[in-house]
Amino acid sequence: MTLSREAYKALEEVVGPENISEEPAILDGYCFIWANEVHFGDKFSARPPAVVMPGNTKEVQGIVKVCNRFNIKYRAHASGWEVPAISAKEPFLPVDLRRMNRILEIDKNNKFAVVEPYVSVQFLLTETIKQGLRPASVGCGPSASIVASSTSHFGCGTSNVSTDYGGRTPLGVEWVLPDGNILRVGSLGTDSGWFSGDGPGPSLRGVMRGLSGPNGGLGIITRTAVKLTPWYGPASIKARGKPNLYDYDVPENLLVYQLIFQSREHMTDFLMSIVEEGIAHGLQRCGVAVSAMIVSESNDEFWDMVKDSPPEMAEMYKFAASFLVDAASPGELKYREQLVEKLLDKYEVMSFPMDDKMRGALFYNLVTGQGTQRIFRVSGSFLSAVGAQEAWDTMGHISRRCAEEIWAKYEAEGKIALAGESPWGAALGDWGSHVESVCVYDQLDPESVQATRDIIAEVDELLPKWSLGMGSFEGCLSPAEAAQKKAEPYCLDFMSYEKKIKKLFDPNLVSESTWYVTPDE
Amino acid sequence: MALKDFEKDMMRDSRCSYCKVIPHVMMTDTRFIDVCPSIARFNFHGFSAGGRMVAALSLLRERIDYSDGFLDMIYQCQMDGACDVSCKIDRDLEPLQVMQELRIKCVEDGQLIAGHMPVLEGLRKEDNMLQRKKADRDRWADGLDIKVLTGHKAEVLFHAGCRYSFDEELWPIVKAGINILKEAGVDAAIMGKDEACCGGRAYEMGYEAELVKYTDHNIQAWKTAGVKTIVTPCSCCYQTFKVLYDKIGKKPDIEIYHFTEYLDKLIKEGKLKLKKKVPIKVTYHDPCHLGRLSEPWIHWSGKEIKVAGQMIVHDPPKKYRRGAEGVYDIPRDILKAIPGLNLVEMYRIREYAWCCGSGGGVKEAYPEFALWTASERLKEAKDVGAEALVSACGWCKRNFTDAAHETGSQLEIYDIIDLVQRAI
Amino acid sequence: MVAENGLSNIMGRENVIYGDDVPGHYSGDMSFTAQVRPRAVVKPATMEQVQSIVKWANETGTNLIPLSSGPPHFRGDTIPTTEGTAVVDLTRMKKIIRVDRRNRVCMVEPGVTFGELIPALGKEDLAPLITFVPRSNKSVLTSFLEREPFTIPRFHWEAQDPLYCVEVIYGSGEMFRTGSAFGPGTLEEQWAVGRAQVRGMGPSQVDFTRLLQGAQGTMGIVTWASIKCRPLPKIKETYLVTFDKLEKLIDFAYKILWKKLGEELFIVNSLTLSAILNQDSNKIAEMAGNLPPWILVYSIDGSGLMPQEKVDYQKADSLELAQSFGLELKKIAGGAGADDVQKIISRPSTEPYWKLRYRGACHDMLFLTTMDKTPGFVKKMYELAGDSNYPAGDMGIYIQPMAQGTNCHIEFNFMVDPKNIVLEEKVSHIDSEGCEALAHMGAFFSRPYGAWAKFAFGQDAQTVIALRKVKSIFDPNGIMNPGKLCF
Repeated sequence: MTLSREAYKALEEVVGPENISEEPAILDGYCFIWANEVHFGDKFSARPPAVVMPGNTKEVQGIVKVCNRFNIKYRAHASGWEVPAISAKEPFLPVDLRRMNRILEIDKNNKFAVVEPYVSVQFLLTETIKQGLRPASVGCGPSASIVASSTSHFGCGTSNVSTDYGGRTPLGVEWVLPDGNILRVGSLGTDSGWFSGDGPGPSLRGVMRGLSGPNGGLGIITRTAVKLTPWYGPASIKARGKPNLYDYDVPENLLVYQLIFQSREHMTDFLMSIVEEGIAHGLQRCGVAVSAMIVSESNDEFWDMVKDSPPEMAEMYKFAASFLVDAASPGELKYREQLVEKLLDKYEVMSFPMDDKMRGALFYNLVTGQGTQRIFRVSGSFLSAVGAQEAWDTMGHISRRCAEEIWAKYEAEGKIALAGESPWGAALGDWGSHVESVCVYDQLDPESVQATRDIIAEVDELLPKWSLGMGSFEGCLSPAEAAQKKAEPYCLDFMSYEKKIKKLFDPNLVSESTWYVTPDE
Repeated sequence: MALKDFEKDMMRDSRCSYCKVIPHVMMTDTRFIDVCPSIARFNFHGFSAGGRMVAALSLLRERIDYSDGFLDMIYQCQMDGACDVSCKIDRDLEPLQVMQELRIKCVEDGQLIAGHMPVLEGLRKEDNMLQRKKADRDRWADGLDIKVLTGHKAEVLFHAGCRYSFDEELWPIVKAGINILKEAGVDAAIMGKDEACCGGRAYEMGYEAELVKYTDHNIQAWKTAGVKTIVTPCSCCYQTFKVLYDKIGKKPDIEIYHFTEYLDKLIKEGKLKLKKKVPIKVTYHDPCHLGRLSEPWIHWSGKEIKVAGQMIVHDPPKKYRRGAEGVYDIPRDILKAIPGLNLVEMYRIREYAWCCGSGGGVKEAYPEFALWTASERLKEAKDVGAEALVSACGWCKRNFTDAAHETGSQLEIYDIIDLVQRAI
Repeated sequence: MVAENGLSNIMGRENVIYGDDVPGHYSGDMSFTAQVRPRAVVKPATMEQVQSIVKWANETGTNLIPLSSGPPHFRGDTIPTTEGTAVVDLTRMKKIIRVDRRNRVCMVEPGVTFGELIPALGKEDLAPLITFVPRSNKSVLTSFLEREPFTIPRFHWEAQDPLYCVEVIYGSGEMFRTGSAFGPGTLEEQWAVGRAQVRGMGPSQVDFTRLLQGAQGTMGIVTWASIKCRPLPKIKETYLVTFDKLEKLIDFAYKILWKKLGEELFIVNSLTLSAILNQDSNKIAEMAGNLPPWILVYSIDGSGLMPQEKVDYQKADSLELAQSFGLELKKIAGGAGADDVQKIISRPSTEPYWKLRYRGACHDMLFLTTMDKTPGFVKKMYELAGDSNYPAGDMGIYIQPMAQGTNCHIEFNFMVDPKNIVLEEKVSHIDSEGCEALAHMGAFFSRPYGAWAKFAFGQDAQTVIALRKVKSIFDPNGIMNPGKLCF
């Protein structure tokens, strides 16, 4: 697909010649991403006709208007680090928001920051911790975009127990609608400031996103205010030592725990107590293997660490979690430390031994999400077929049934890496839990890729039957509404409302919607 | 290895964008988190290591063909390796090697950059990268009482390198260098007119044959001259001799020192004393070729195997070069040992240092981009309050000097030899 | 009559009131909204009945207004703007469907009041998050559907809290359940696998709960809601922190919030504190005269496994913090006892409703801002009051940090003698014209009742366009509470 010269010229006039390209070598960088092979059968999805890079809201608006005029499908991305950011079956114009990379404001007293799309979690964290604040972290790590995760995609991360789920942190939002008009959500729309994302009247944040966002299928968010939460650690966290196994100094008022549980229920009971007590800064449910991965230089070293472990050890360490306790004062630290000891005693929980290196690495992982990305290193790629959020007990049901009734056979055949009963999970504010069951697969191995596809299909099929939820992050990671269609017979009809929203807000259907919804013909 | 041998790495790129920034764990000031000059300047994803890995795969699969746009995307890159360090924080991939093989393929396929052609022509005719006459190679040493190895024996060969040899403004540095060795009682000599290019910079441009040629030539020349130890003030030459020659399977049986390493040795042996005060506030720029790129080459031959279902390991286990073992501390120790000198660090240092801008053929073919890169570094140096920027490489010195002149920066630009000389 | 027969057929004649029999409190309230008598008032008891009513309304072209709380109302949102409207009075729907201690959530029908919910939760070692001394017949569900603030900012993570999922009959007549309640499975099937309807977002890529909140019944009628609860504290320590200047208390509150200390945290002026503590108008005046101008109410809970230790360290930290500001944590101030305040704010108002005790009637003006801006708004409001010759001493003020301190609700309660027509007109003037001045200062009328809607929606046409699109989806015939907001 190529753009007409008229369309190209119109776009060039908006962004300037140095910010638009039709060079095939550049364009292939905008249709290549992990998991493409699962969804589209190849590392490359459809090559776009061009790519544009706006530098401000006016240029974004200009691009969207041109696309409406010439009927060009477009989709924006920030870091571009998810298949819903970059890929589709049919070509579209990627709008690369890299140039929009500023922190516009950090309001220390009222605890929020205003950012442009290319500001990453780490970028914002680096500046906000200087002022005793922090944003929500994102599970895929520190390079993820704050705007994308909070408004347009998903948003769970290790910090969510204290920051809340990222999808609940947006305040005022500046939004270029699919038709090119600009909507200012919340208090921004009345020129009151950025401090609220809801109102006047019903909250249009409800159109902007739900559990997940529209993945670029409903216009382009150009600025967002996000709520920050208190940070009691130092004004700067810097690693020391040598790559890639840096060392971290754990601040004195932050305590790291890594625990082993006897059963899923045992783990759930304990973690729910931690959440109810309100003492954790970061929390994740993950296997001890993840910790070992974080402190091993390479897969070879990791394998060397674990290969001779007896099978019963894997069984013993099946249910594990790590969390970080913070404290704003010595008195609080003492209380919280004693409280955790009491809880460990009450629930008879075993601590997994940590040396300073592991403690430091876990500390950093729980604060920033750095390290969990090493799951890519294991086999080259991975996909979470399940991403669910609800009450803690439900997450237990999900991970058990998925492990036993879906994953087990593929692991037995060696088609995916042994993840066992080791999904990844986080605590969400004070209300619930998030869990993922992951396929650790090799994108170079067709059988492994097919196994991943099969797992996703089975999850999409079975999770609704089990009344446990909808697959593929409730449709967020499901192209062309595949998961939603499988869940339809078991759920109330929500798709028709989503489609109506899409039709009304994007009358020309130019906001590319592979990972959102498309109105029925 | 050929480009095709890295296809797995290309396929496994996840588009995480780590290659664009310093390791996240090192970020302390968001004004200075970019680590790749190429994408920082040109913004399209293709200008990152990840983007070039995709482009390499596209080329192999014949999805794209050569074009000016493609070549500009590949070659507007200093091959400084910062992307490689950042990528390898969490991954076992080889983005720098992919980019190197991509350039080699470009040259093999006759896809040459106009700005490189006169340089290569000069190299082939006159054995240097500065398009100067070979006969003038030793003019920098005029008036100095130095042995020349063609007629003498010596313990140490002082290899000046092309930049120091032909760039007259840098002659005081190289002169000071050899004099420091002499004053420390080192039995040092030079190759004089017979000194030839190391071949490293041509290699980075994709000219593998030139590297092989100069490897063979130099090793033979050193053997003939009975060289056991080489000391060079040029970081590029240092990295080429120590790492690239080994990489292509021709590791010389010679001790290779960067000038700072040898200085460090002399200081520890008490043969050199830094006595005089040099009261300046300086910041040290880690040359890429002395830092992350000088990590010794790791030869590995084996296969990839899968365990635990799909986990990828190697047989035998494979060690990756992650930038950990570059020369970072020695230059700093030397600077700290200079009385009165105040050393402040920039935000991007050591294995995650920002490049000076001149490597990878960029100075030759894309001079404006080279200067832009250097000027960004000067801003960083100024931001930390330094009065001077000191490096340990002639190419760094040249590019920073040019950028300071271009931008009107008031920063003094030194080579570490300048400051050591003042302290002796 | 044919239409009325339709309603009676659905509801049973005894559950429908028509015409002149409709009590006056459905026609007007304490706001300045013009009085319009509804055509009928219907009182359903089940979701199915509500759905039938809505379908009937679509067929007959009858506008509907849902209402869940008893009188008097204050906002004007339940008063019809058009003739022929039927009010759907949900006060009969009083089931507390479920209390889930483990997940700290309850599920209630719209007619459940705080007074009814508190003991039910108490049996399960839970307590509700409660608004500031609500009236006794106030609906819990509607309070949070309208995004009313509650007194413990620590539990208010963001605007949706403490509301999770709802069941709704949209204006189209379709039934839907929002958040994780949408399915898969029936509620019973969901409960069987541990689901507790604690995720209000979604399903999928739309936040249906959020589109109902703040909607003033213009999208549909909610028939149950799951609502976050908190653990019942074992120990409670409450303090009054007083000062002449609001600014200092604001700074102190910011610090408390940053340290995540305490539970209840809000600021009131002397009149408001006095009005909640006293029944008699003279006693209110007397205590208000003795109290310092501003009082920050702050409490510490002892809950969990180490309740006393939790109280002890928080008390120590709070004392230290207060001292650093030159403030005191008092148990008694100006005759007001902190423990008495705690008792009052832990339950609904006794009769008469506290806002009515001083002068007999009350008009509220409320909006969102940030705490640092509240002194400016207070100053402006006093100016407006002065300009209108409204006695500033009759104005209650309540400042509630929300979203864990990211923004705050500020509320001005103009207490008036309802027989004083002149004063009523003055307050009406402040309400309609004064809000313009406040809006220009940055007041965000996120809940734009009555005249405030003009300013809330007047500045961004796209907001209005977008909301009307949403409305057209859920209430295509526009029968739900027309004339409110921007509809």
